Amino acid sequence: MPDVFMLAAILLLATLGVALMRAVRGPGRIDRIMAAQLVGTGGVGVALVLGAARNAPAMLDAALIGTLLASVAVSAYVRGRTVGQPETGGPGRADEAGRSE
Amino acid sequence: MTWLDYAVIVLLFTGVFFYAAGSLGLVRFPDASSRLHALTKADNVGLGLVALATALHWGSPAIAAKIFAVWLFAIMAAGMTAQLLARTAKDDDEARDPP
Repeated sequence: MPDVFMLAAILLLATLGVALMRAVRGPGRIDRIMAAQLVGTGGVGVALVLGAARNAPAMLDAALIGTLLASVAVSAYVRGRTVGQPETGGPGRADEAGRSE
Repeated sequence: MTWLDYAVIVLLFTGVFFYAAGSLGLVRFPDASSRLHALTKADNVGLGLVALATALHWGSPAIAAKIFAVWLFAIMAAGMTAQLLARTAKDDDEARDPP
């Protein structure tokens, strides 16, 4: 049974490697963010499966933390696009699409 | 092997299949709006099936509750992420060719 879980974990990792092609190719920033988000969800799955394969309940804590942190990158990206209006002078900046509001 | 082991194996590899479908969709779909489908739907079905398989394998209510928490937070995060990214993709589309 551990071998089955280990095989599943290896297949999941290969899947995530394929998804990283989208992060390499782009073309836009949103595509790379989506690839990172998919790797986040996939990493949670890998942690669950590895925990079952190696009888390590600590991996469940890692999966829980990974779940909670996976969406932070997306909210930071969207927030960075919207707060960077010229008159605020904040740390964010306008995106490459040249939105004007 | 009991019937429970067979159920775990079937659930596990169905989950891996959905993960693979999500990755393939992210690589192959033509634009950001359609890639969002692969990201937020297929991937979370895969996570749900994998979580169910591991929870059945552990066979302990406490650990099953923790895995359920992982799944619940992942679903909530996926819903929020989908809304934010869809709005961003829509803004990009409208900036490229105004309606």
